[in-house]
Amino acid sequence: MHKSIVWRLMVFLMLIPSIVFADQLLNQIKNSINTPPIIWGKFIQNRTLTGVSKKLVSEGYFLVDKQRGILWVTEKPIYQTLVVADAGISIKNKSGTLMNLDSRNLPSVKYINELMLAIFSGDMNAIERVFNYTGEVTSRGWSLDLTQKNISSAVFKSVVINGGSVVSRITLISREGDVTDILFTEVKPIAALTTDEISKFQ
Amino acid sequence: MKYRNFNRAIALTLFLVAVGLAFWMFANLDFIGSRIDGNVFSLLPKSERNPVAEEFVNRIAKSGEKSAVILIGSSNLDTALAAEKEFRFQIKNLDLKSLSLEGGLTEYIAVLEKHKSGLVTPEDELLLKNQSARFWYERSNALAYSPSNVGIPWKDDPFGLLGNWLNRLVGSTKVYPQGDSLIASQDSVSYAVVPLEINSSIDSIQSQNILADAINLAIENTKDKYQGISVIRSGVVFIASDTSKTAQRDIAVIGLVSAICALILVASIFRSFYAIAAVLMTVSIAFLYAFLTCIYIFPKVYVLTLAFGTSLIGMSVDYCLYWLTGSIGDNKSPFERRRYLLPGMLLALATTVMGYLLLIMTPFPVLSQMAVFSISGIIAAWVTVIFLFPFITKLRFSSNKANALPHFIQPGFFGDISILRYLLISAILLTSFYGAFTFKANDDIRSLASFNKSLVKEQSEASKILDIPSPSQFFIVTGSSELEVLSQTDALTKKLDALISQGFITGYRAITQYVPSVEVQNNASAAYISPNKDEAIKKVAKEMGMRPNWVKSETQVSSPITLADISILPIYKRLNYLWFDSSPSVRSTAVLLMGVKGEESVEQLSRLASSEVDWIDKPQEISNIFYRYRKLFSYIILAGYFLTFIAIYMKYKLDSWRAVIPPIFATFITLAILTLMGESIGLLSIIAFALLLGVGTDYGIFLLQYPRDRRILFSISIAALMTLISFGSLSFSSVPALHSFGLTLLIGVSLSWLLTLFFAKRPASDA
Repeated sequence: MHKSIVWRLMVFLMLIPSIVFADQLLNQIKNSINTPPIIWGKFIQNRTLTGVSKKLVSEGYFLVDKQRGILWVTEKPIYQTLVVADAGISIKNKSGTLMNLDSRNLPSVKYINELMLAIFSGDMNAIERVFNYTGEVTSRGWSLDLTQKNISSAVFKSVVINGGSVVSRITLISREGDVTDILFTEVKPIAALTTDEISKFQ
Repeated sequence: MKYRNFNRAIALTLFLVAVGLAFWMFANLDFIGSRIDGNVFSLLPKSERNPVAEEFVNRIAKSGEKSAVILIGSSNLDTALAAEKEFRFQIKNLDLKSLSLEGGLTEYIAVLEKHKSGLVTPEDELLLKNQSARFWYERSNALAYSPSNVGIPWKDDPFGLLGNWLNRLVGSTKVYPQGDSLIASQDSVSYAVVPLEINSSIDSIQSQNILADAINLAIENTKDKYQGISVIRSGVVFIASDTSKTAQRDIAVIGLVSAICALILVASIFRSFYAIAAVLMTVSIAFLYAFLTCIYIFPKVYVLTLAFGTSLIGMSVDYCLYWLTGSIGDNKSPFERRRYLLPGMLLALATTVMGYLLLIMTPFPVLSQMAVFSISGIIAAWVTVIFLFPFITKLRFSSNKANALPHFIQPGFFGDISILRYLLISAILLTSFYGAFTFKANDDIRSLASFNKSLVKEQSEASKILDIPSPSQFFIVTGSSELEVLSQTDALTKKLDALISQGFITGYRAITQYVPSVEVQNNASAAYISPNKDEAIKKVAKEMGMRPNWVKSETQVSSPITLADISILPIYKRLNYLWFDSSPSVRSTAVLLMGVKGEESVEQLSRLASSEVDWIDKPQEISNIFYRYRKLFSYIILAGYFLTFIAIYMKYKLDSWRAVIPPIFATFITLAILTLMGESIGLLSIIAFALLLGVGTDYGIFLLQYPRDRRILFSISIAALMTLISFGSLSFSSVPALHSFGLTLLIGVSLSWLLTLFFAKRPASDA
């Protein structure tokens, strides 16, 4: 009993710095993070789905264009492209379209897009609007623990973002317990999209 | 002497009762205030429709009445959200509930999963019929390897079929959450949406006005702090408050103007304090009885009744004037005078009350109330004049300059110059014909709506941004069982889908979007057990290492979802207004529409009606009722003239036409003038003509009864002037209904007076 009180007190004390510095936290991250209009990078994704024994590991590259959205190209073990854009969300492979959610008919798809874009581009203003957050900034980088402010509309139970000058790791935990862990490498700003890339957004 | 004492007793009783009632009224001002109804919606006619539809209309209206939505817009989302915070702070002490986001989606999804084979979008149904096993294998893999699946875990929806179905349902909402706020956007403007629910303590106009004012003030303060934001208000409370304020302002202004004009007129003619006091007393007593009668008979007294009732001032002053002018330079005793005036006044009262009685026959509660108000007020004024005035000894006046005026008024003028007279008569006839055959009728309820235009614009903008369904135009599907109703509804929504793609409407809200009919679910289930998909599921199960019974659960047909499955969920609270079990054997549901675009859409929609599907178009229905009653009223007026003619004929025989013809011609010439002015004729103008019948014939009756009495000629002239002042002032009202009523009477009464003189018998002494 006594032990549990001490434990709680310690947790509480540990929370204090992050509460006190909550306002400064995002500012500090904003100062350290680069958010160029377009970034390119490689990813390794690990998914653990509830009720599925196989660990789903995939690799590929991604593009985050603040204007157009997210292009997510999985190369291994299967080839497919996921586009999250203003027009909607679509998944295609070499044989054609597998899934398509049109955001013109479904405004809520736009909401999911904005959520994903905020997370993947490290847009702290957008993150602040949607999430409650705790986190820390060290000399090696920063980490943010996000929970959606509005629980009833929450897509994720929690989101953890790690980064330095760019986002280096994102962990998404869905309401049902699916865990998606994504590591980013070779992340760099790029000046413009190729015509092939632009066509993928359309 | 006994007769006199008896009269004195009556007078004293009447006076004391009036004083007592006045005291009672002042002592119970709070109670009386609570009985005044400022709700403009209660002015709509009693419907003649089937009770199921009526119940729906009421439900939808009720759910709308207590809610309001404020949209705070800015091109910058952060500005909109900051302004929203400020606005919420400003309204935190008001009698409002801020509605929170309704959750319950998780529970709903859990129910859906149990019935998922029947919940497939038409697009996926087509794919299930046509696509290969490879397609389904790849689709399942694609979803498993995507960074995130929204809403439903992969294992429960490995092909995203239920996800697509759910997205089609909840995805179409234009409002989405952003942190603690709700966001909607249109034309690159982001709106923070603040849905409000008005507490039930807000039930009187006063509290409603206070609340609306407070919200408006909060909006102004927020706008001051955040320049450049736009605020859109939607809610009955704003329109109701604005309308009741307009009506109250009209009462104040019109009442004051007619009162002041009446007093100036009385003062300049009689130059006596007692005359003014007598007039004021009569008007007060008339108003007192009119108001209390309405309070006694009706549960609520409409603000519009009071606005209309101000014209009562003019009417009750008429009776004073007949008495007062009768006293100028007259040596008769008060009781002789009463005997002298009684026949004319009695007939005048009878015909006027007859005019108002016609109003009671309309289906509009406010009009019957106006009639009760006027009849009781006029009778009270009449009784006051007849029973109290004889005891006011100071009501005796000498002639002055003003009294010489009637000498310039010549009844039966142009009587000698017959050519001119015939010319004038033919002009009257021609204009009357012109009026009778060229007037433009307009029964559109919207042309009578006096709602503040900018508020109405805000309302429609909010509906567009939020995609709120119309509360006045919708379908009702009726059947004997849930099964039947749902399948009829699905048939209807299929047709509506076609109208959406043709651009006639933008969307609809139907219970079948949540619970499709059994046919639709059976068709989906038939597609769901596609062999190709089942082949894919086996391959996927092997690769992903799923449990053996998973394949079975993903390939079997589930039972169709029914209303009973969702009626216990929190989400059903948002839907239950769509469903109505009116009796054990009658089930019905409403299909609400979004973005109905004008008459062409209405035309298309109305064609979808059938024996099971009712098309409800409230504005059109009211307009139809207006049309029918306008026609009916025209016949009532005809009958009224006929009855009045008979009543007068019994007394004045062959001369009776002189009292009846002038208001008839006045009516037709007024029609002509209104047409030339570009005004269209609606029910309210026709009602004005009905009153003209009552008022106009009075002048003729008095001229017939007292052909040689110059004082009576003077009386009716002043009476006409008074009526002009009171009804004329109504034509300045910003309430279109009162305006057209006032304008019609303004023209009608002037003409009626003029024509009464024109057609009057020349006094024998002048002949």
